[in-house]
Amino acid sequence: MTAAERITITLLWAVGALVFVMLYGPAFMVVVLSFFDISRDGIDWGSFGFQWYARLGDNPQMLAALGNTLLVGACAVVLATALALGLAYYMKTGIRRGRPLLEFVIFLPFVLPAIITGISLLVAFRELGLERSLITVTIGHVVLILAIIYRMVMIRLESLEDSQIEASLDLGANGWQTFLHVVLPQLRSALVTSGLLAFTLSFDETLVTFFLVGGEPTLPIRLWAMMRVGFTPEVNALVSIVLLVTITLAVLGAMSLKETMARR
Amino acid sequence: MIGAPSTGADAGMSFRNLIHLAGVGKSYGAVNVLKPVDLTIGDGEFLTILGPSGSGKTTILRMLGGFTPPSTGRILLDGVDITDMPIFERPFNTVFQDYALFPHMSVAKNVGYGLKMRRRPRAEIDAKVADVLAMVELSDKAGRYPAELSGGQRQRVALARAIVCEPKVVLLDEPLGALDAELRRSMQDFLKALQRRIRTTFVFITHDQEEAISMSDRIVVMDHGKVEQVGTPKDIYYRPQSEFVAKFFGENNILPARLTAGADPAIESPLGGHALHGAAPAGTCSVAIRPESFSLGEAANTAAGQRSMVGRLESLTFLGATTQLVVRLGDGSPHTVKVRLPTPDLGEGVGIGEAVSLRWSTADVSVLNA
Amino acid sequence: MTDLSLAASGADPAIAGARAPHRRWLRRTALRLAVYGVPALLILVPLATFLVYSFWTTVDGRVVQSFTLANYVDFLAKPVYRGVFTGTLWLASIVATTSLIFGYIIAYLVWRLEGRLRYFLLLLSVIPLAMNYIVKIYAMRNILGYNGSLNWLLVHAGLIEAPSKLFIFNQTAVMITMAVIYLPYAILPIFLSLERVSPSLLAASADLGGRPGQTFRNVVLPLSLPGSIVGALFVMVLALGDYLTPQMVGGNQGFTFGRAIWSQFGMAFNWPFGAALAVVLLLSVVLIILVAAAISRHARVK
Repeated sequence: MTAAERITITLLWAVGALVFVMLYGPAFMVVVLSFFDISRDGIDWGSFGFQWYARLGDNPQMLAALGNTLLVGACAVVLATALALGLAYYMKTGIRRGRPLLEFVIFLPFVLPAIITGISLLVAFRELGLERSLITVTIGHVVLILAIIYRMVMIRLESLEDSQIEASLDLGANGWQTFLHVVLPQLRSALVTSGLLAFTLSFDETLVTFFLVGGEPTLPIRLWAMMRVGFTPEVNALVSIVLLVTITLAVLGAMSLKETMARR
Repeated sequence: MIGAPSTGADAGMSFRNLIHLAGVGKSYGAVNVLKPVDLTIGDGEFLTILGPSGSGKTTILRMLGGFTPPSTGRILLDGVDITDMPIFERPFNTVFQDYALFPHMSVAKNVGYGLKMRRRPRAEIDAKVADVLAMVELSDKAGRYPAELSGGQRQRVALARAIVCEPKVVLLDEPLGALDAELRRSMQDFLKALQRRIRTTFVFITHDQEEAISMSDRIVVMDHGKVEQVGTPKDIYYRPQSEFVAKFFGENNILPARLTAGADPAIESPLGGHALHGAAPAGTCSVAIRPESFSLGEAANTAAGQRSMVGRLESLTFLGATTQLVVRLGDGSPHTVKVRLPTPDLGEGVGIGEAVSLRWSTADVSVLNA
Repeated sequence: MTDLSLAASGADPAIAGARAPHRRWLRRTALRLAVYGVPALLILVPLATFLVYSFWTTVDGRVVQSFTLANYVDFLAKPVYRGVFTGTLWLASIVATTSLIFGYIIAYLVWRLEGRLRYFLLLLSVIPLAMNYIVKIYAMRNILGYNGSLNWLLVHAGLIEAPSKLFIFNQTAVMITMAVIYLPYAILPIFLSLERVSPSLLAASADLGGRPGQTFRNVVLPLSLPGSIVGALFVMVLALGDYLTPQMVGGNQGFTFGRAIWSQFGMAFNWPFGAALAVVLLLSVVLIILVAAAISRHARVK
């Protein structure tokens, strides 16, 4: 490496470090501030403690929102997994001319801006006479996460030899038994990984949810409403918890993804 | 062959007809991968389907197993039409080329899978699995997973899994293809011994001629989606009916021939005339004779059914126990034959260019359809 | 192999046999209907409804189902909306360009690394994807705001006398916030397109006397740029459709097209007009996706 190249790389690392500060700095600040009292005069550095976290537990609205989010996420992941499994298994076991078309449709909500998906579902629900509620939110999340789960299940299914299915049938298992005893167990890690990623996505989803949510807000919607009023140390505490949860989920998902890919 | 009980010449056994493929063929659109085949498979027979890749041998096996529906024809089992019977109801089990062991199940679970699907009682499953694992000498590996086994062990697990349900037929799709030469040979012996012991029909697919000859009661030779010949290993080796079969197994001398006109049709070749058995070949044809079917000897000593001819030695290659000679069939003849003799028979030896007197039996000359 | 087909129901000739052809046909058709019907119902029907909505209108705050082009004419006739539209396109392009440049730098640095450090930094650059979107906007507002950390820092460093309002509630604030939020979406595609550059090409370039800098300019950059641009276009689509970032940090000045659409479904309560504006957004997004598809196809041919 010449001196000029060395200097360039060093400069790039400096820029890179700055970018990482930009990516993590804001969140870091919030987490730090969540431990202190803030008054009009500034931060009271002497007030370090978990007092704001303790007060979160007394906030029934927040707890309800958290409950809603977890419920929606769990339901959406289960429903989308069942749907994605069925679709992928059907597409894999036979010559299906409709496969490219179906995959195009499934991937649409993933490619189109969230606002389009949100508006589409909103007007469709209204025309169907479906009131906005956690059910509409759940359907919206299913639509959003279907593509991820389908893709990961399909990748694993494609690597499954046809002879595995043939052997099972040959040994006297019918189609359903074969799915249950031979295919499903081998999809387990792919299902865990895609479920984790999909749940993370659902937990954070805001832009589609906004159009579909009724009287019971999910956590991001509740956060948004609280922030409009102004920022309180309590919000900082909640945000820190949300960050901790989602980052944990994402890291677990990433690790499980790495393992799934390695096992193929 | 059709309908007639066939004989396992090597074992001296005769088999009751079990399976009848009646005009079974397969095409994908305009592509004809298997021309209609008529074939019977005997109960307890070791039948090998032999051919190069793309010859249609795997197609026959897949149609037997129910993985691929035939385009034409019916498959009968004990006279009952099973053409449309679902895979999982057929009393056939398959040993797959890649073994297709379930990676998430232990050896015992793999072997017991078929019994479990048939809802047999737990105790019966355990007992049968233990029996069969003992038979394939894998009793100590029952708790292992396929990934922890060697190639030969996986092969035996696949075999155990296929025989544990006591199927009427075991279908084996090139099961030895992935093994190295030494392991392959010992597995051949093992497989043959096992088949004799359980007296179950084996339909075995291979592209290896030696394997087919050493293991089978009968061989079906295939090429380009067509059955070339069906017969015992000796039949196939010494009495080939087509040039493909004649060339497919070891070395052979193939010489041009033609049909002589007349009331009593016969074949005329550089080896003289031969009586014609069966249907007359159309126009040009050829004859084949194995290099080891020749011996040295004077024309005067020729016994009944034997012929002799004086040729000229062109080359001589010492191969150890045998020696290979290339002999021109008479001065100025365009034809040469390869002759393989036990080395001691040559005695003091013959010089290149010297006259050699060849002797052979007319029964060893096969007439080939082009 | 090719004609082995076994859906969970086992409704296939190879399996089900010819025993009940009529029932088999029924089951097969029902299955096919479910497989194609459910995604169509969940995704295509709503999209179609939304397209139809854009041709309806409102009278006294109520949706009237009569075909009209009025919403589109309104959009074209009112310079306000056209201005917001072009302004948002410009904003999204700048956000995309920023993430291309900085995303490329990060991806390139990570790509050059090896082993655990490489995996760790890659993970570090995608984790922000999992950080809550609202939280990120909130955190950015804390930094850029009048009482925010940036002002605090600048005042304490003596660079400015008093906290400035330059950083919040305007178009610049929207741009900075979007750039930070959407940058991680660009890093991963750029990294993947760098991964597709075969190591043997690098070895070949070095073997032919290419210095690291020359190899980068002549081999790495040309091969990875198309994929990187596709990643940046993806960011542009995200920025175009965003309506909460401008709402939260843009104030009165940071009005974007996404926000304009959103307001039709909120305060203004003119859903058909909102749908028409969203169709305009959809068309521009489709155009961007087509460009991205053309770029990746072109890159693959090379």
